[in-house]
Amino acid sequence: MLRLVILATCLTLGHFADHDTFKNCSRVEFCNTLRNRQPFDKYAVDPSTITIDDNGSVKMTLKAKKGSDLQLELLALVDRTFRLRIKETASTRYELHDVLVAEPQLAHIDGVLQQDNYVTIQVGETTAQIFYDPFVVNFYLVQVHQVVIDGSTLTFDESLDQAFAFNVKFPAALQLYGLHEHADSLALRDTNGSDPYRLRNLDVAGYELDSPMALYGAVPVLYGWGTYSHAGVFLHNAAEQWYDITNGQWDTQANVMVESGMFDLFVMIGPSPEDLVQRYLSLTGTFRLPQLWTLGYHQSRWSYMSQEEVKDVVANFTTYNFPLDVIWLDVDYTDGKKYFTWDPATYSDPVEMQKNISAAFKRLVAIIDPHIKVEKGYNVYDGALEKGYFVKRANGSVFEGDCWPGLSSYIDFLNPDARQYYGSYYSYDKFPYSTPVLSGIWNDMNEPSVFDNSIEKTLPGDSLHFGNVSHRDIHNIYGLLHTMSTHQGLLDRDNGTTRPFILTRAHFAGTQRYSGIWTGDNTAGWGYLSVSYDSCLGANLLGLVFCGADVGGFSGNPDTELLQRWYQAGAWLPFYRAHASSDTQRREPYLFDSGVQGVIRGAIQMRYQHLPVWYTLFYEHERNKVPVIRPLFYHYSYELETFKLRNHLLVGRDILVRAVAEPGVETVTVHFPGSENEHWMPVDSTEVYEGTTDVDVPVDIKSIPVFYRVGSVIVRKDLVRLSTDEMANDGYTINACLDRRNQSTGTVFLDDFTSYNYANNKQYNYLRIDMDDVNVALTKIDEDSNPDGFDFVIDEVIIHRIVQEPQNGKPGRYVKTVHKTDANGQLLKNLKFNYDEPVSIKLGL
Amino acid sequence: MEFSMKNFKFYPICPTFLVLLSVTCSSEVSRPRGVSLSRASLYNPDRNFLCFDNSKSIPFSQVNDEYCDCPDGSDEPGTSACPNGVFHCTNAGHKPLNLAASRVNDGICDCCDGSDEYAGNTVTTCPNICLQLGRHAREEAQKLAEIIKAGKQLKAELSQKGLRLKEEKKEKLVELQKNKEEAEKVKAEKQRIKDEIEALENKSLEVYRKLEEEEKQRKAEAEAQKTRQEATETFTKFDSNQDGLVDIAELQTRQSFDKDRNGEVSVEEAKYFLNNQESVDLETFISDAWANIKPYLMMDAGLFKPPVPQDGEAEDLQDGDDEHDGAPEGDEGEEEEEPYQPEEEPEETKLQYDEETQKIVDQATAARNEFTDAERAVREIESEIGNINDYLEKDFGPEEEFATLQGECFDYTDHEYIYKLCPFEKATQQPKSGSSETRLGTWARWNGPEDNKYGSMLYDKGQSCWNGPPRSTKVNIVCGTESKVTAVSEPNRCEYLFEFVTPAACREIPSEADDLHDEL
Repeated sequence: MLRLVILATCLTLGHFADHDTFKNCSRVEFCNTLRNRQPFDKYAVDPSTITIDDNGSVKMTLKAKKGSDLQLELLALVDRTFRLRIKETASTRYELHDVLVAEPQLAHIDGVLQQDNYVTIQVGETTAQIFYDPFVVNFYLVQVHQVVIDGSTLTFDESLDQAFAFNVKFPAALQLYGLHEHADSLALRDTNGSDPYRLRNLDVAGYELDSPMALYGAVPVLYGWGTYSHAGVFLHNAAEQWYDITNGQWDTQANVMVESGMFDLFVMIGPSPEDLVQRYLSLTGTFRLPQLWTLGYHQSRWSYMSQEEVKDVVANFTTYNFPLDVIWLDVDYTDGKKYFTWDPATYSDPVEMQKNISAAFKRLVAIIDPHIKVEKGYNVYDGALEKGYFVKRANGSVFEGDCWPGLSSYIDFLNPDARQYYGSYYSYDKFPYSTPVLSGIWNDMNEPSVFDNSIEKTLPGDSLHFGNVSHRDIHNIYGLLHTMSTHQGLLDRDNGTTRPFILTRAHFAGTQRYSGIWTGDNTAGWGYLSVSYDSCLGANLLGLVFCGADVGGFSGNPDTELLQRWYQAGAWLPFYRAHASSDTQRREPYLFDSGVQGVIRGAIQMRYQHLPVWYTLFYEHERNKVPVIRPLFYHYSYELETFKLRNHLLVGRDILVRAVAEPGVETVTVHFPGSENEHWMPVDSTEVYEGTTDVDVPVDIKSIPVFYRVGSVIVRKDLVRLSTDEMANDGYTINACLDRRNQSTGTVFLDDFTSYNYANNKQYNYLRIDMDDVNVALTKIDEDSNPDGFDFVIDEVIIHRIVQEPQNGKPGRYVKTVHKTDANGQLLKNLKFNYDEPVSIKLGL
Repeated sequence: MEFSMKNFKFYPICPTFLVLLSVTCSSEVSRPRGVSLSRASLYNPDRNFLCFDNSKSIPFSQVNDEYCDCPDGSDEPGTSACPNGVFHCTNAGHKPLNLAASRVNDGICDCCDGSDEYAGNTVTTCPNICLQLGRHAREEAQKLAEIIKAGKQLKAELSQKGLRLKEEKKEKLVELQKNKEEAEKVKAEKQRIKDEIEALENKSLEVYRKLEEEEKQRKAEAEAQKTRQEATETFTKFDSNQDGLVDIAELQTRQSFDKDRNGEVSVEEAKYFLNNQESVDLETFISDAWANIKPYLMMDAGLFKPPVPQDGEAEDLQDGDDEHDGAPEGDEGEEEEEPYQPEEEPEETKLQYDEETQKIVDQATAARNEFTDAERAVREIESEIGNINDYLEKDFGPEEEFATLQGECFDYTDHEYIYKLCPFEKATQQPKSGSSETRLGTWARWNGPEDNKYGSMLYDKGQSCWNGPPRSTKVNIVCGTESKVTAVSEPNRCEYLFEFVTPAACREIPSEADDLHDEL
């Protein structure tokens, strides 16, 4: 019956979200009130209250012209970051923890200048300036005005309960980004005339495009992007928020309206895009290097209904020669939607099934949700009930609401003991019939989702958590806390030897420390293919680097053209999984005619060929705090054309991808970024394109417009087998795209692909590769690393050399030469290297 | 040069133990790793190797040197060096196999002879299990052959039954067609008799029909008179101030008009009864208001139940009519549609005919009955013919072997549902809990591929899924010694798949024996 109800919800909604259930600003009291208020200029600094501490802390009182006074605290942090906290003198506001990776480090204050009407604090090249009356806070880098908190719009008022509002301006910026997650263009739109962007984690079935509606995740960060200077703010607050956005020269700003919790704002000053992203990741952490297999292809469906079906799908991938690393189990594998159990009829022998999967070198991921079926005798429920680990209603009784199992209660993940309790169920002895083949966990429905439209399908704001914390204060971190529990549970399960793999739907700032994300229940439509690039690029700028979208679209049936294009485009997002709703036609790639199969197989194989690129980029993300995929404006922010560009991305710095997200096209317009000195080589033809041009590139159904940057070295594995494990011992292909000086450079990272030895014992081989037209030089990047056992076996070197420069808008031409031996005629693959000294190889012809 | 000889070492294709088999080795041709016997001659160690696509000629030492020279991959039959290469495993004792080169040395034992995993840098070692597999396969093949043999016997019987059935149906058809002709003759004769007597009857009844009309007319007039009288009396009663008008105030004093039973008669209520006028004179009262007022007066008098909307109305009103004539809803209309139905005429209007007329009427009635019977007889025969034609049009297989399945049903029970397949009719599903049956499809057609048309049936146009398409069912049919459903699944939402075995599907399958012995 329940299933019917759910289907009813999904199907009747179709391609548009349910606006009766999911509110707009005018139906949310605090938003409606705050959005329509006038600036009332209520506060002024009382200079006599200012205290300044050399260790980076400045405090003062904001006198209210009516109502209660506020306390302001400004902390100067390392890495050109400030933290501004404002609260009532007798504040009862919830102060968030669990989000920051560590307590931010304070910076030494280099100078203080106190004047009649303002005080400035200098930290290195940054300056914070606080005007007393009118109250304004300015942030500068050298002389450039970066961020302004406009005191005239600061709104705290008893009548609003705990809601507050403020305005933040970015004088050096032209365009705002951030505020993940919305199904909209990466560049935030002006909201004048529409609803503000909303951040409240919600289970929005059939979400619509080009909408500021809240989705599953919330990352309260704004990046102000300019052509020369970049600054951002991060509101450290997990309550519901709305953002009115204005973009434009001297007028880039946001009005921020928050339901409750603290005014706790991190101000981050670039100036470069790389700096800005690094500042934010210094606060919230990075995604740890994933196991290699997680970067392969994943096959999912709601649901594979029996162990036989699972084995059959795996066998068909082998029979039809499609690479596959992971098969996924949605909710129906459980016994009555009780997590940590198996359906005794349809999954009667999970151990045998896992052996079968493992024998084909594949792995299993299963779903585990945060709602627990209300059923006496179900151990997870009984234990949590007895120990008080469930979220409670305002009246103190245990909250019960409908979800997949029917009546369910929700684990209170704010309670560290409850996190420990839930996490312990992942252990092999408490999750019956689980084996190491169950290699990852899917945490879904963790906004959390409650099947009750009258409460926006989530827990009511007055529900109570550990320590009597209202749900509204921590709503947006519920999913984060859920993955925190799972992450620790999986670490414990495998004694810390294996890097956990988790996928979550709900997310917040900091989720990247525990889990990857996907874009939730999207739809089989071209616009959704396109927006998957916007979403995952946005996520990547915010540290949520392991990001993908359901290939083919979750709801609805894609036609074969869309499906093929989606496989092609999806191969260039970090997480590559096909998934589909229960009411869609089966669409495993082997079910299509051989032409379609060929295109899809080609796309997946191309993904596997580039796995060394992905793996190295993930390592470099953790090491350098850089995104894995990047919007073009990340590297080319001086090019205004890139600011609103869609369907383009960079994988690392050196691979440009243009998704074909339009039906029936014979050409697509590709924007090649960079100056005329930047050149790009398509992987599947011999043209050379020049930077800062738009070119209509011809495509057929087999084409994926992918381009290597001239000057780069792209390391691939060109022999594609059926899984990453099967390819573990194969050698690498070096693709050198030589520039005008006949040089190119790149990196590659190798380790055991599974453990933390790379981090704990420096057991890895991280090499810089420098190429010219006859020489390969390999240099160990970290002196003290130990590359034993991680030989970089070179199968072949492919030199791409420009033979005709692009001119007057006409593409040039390059040729490839393949080298498999060195100058002595030795096969490259047989060469043995000692990485302690720089390795130099002269290529044979 | 670090090239070891192992790269182009030759392997004898007859492992020594095979000599013990009764099958003898067909040849001792040595050939590079991964090459099939049929292609061995293309790899001659004494000559340069020519790529199969003729694109290149290379020294033979470069065959299987883990360097892909030929664009078609033909120089690396035994390694994974060419992305498009093909590795052949002999699998002596079992079936030979061609693999994509990417499966060579990938850690998975694809060949039962283990020949695809020889690198030694993977943890996998692959034992030669071809003999076991071969034996197992032969046993399976043997079993299958036995099933087919037994099945074919049964199929022959089914086929005989089917053919006999068809013969019987055809004979029956001939007989029925003859019967039909007879019956049509009878029908024509009865028609003629009926027409004649009815003409006579019509004439005799003309005078009575006129009388009936007059009677009706008279009654209607009397009724109208009565209504007028009643209305006039009421008007006089209501017109308290005797100004010749009944107005709202006058009606408001009468509780009968408190429609909503709230204790008072509102202006709206009163107005309703005056047909939305402030006041009415006698004529208007009779023509417009009386129809509204009367039911309430009757209700007050306990004679009349408030009208139940729609369906119930006619019946309830009829009750009232019998006792208290003159209700405005008239009797007009209904009778005119059936011109002649004497026995159903209401009692009062039934006139006594004279003896002569009555006799004619009786005769006519008898003639009509006989004609109806004759007509029915023809229809029944026609319908039987239709059924037989349907049967004969149905495709029960080239030898009628599926014919006996028609009319039978086969159950299959899984952990949740009882499925039922009634061949050539329908497929259904019923929850074990016993709630009602869902139709998964109605017989549509044979649906197998060209070379095996009778390997699959389609049942479509089943009950629509909630918010989805109509259910449909595909039935895969294979040979077995008894007819039964062996599995049911729902590979797509609302699309079911039944596996059905039956002797009717047993036929000779192309023997795999050739393959098995190919390389021995």
